[in-house]
Amino acid sequence: MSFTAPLFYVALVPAVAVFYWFSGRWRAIYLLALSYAFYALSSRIYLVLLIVASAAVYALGLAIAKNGSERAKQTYMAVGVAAVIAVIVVLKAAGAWRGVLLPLGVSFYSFKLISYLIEVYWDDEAVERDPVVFFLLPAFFPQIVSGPIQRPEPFFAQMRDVMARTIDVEQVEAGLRFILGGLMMKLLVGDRLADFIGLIDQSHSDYSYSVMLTTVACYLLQLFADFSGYTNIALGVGKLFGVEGPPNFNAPFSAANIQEFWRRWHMSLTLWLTDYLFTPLSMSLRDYGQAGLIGAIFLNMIIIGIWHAFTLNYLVFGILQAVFLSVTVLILGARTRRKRVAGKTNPVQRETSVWGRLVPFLGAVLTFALMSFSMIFFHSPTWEQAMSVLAQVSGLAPSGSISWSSIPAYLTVPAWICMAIALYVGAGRPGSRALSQSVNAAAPHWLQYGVCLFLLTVLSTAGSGRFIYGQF
Amino acid sequence: MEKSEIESRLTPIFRDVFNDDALVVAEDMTAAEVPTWDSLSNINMIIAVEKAFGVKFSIKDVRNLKNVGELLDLIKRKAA
Repeated sequence: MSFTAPLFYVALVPAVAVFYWFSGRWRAIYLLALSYAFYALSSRIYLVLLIVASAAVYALGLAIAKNGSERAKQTYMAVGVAAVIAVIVVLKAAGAWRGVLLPLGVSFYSFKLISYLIEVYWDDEAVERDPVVFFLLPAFFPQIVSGPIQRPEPFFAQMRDVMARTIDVEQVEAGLRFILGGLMMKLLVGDRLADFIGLIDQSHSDYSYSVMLTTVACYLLQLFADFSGYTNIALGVGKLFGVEGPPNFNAPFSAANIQEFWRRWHMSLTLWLTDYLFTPLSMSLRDYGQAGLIGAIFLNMIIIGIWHAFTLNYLVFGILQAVFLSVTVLILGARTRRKRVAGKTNPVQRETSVWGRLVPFLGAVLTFALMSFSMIFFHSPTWEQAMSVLAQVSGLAPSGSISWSSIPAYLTVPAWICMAIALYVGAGRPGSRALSQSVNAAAPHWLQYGVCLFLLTVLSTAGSGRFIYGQF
Repeated sequence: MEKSEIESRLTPIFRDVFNDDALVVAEDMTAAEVPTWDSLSNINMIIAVEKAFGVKFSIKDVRNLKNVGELLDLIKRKAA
């Protein structure tokens, strides 16, 4: 069942009420049953896979913690991690080449299981002995579809905490606010942009150059609206059950370079990869200097690419990110060294000159352009389509004659408005604090929520409500 | 080697790696307090410390560090 289905919310309210009606361990057992029931709605066979994988990792975790010898610990950890990765690889390969439908959230719960094994290997005390609390980590239904990828330790701590306390009304209100905001971002902004992109996708070469270029910029904006909308719904539903998940986005469009962009985009994934792949890898390659660092960046970004699916398009997407990121890292490194030689060394100091303020802005524009360019490969379902869009955008293939004025206004105006909203929110909503203060002074919270709900009902498109990241 | 000695040798390394000449190493300092301390400069810091003190860290050693005080302890243990 999708987070955009009305039935989901009809079921959610009593589900939360029953959760707090139970107390102690029963609360966790109930949540586990609820999570498995949610999963079974999508696939009963793959539910078995989820349970078997959880049980195996639970047992391995206990074995790693119990065993005194470093060698045995390492073996158990490596076997567990390799087995989980093997399952993902086999399923993704079957998905890419045989068209097999992937189990719901398999990449996301696998990330949680792998990080648990590594954490226990690093520190015995990270082991979770309570099976109910442990099994909830991968199964927790608000995060299972597409994350956010929460770390084991904060999840276990919050789960134990919520088992022992009463309902936190403020947390529940914040949860509902997150859900409402997420639904608006997804259904009102993301799905409208999807409609516009879908229209152009049908025959992109018939459209003029400026329409095509705007559509390419839309790819990134639509993905942001879709995935940040999803994430806020997931975080909100999590809060209803007393769990604060990790954020995925921190104003990505304000990033002044690609390195900063990846620190602000799909953060629960990039931080996961930083801790469990990039850092160990660059530690192992540290004797090779810059070449080792670039090697670690390439491997990391290529994995981010093909993790989405084993296709040429995602591979190219990953390689592009690796190239952008390596160049950025090398340029920034050289610039820092030059500044140090020149004796300008306080990074915290803010630039006040016009040029000093213009540089980050131009950097943000360039970063957006580079990301939009690589999104051609991310967005296009086939290699042929990516090449044909690329040819048109780069001027190698002719553009068509359908210009802005020949597309009906009821399609273009909402697209422009939604692009502006996605860009504004993605750039960190500058000035929104002052705005919300004045709105709060004029209208009570219930009225604001009411207006949002009204907008949701009136403005939702008849679109599918399907999430882009649901397929990964 | 005394902890205070390690601490004073660590300050210039940190200033160089994190590009901040006002930085003074303290035991309770964490990565969150230093704006330029990210995953990349973290690796650079580890490499610089290894070189300066003639020690070699494992991934596990580095991973479990919670603050600079624990790094001091680790250097002391490894350099002994």
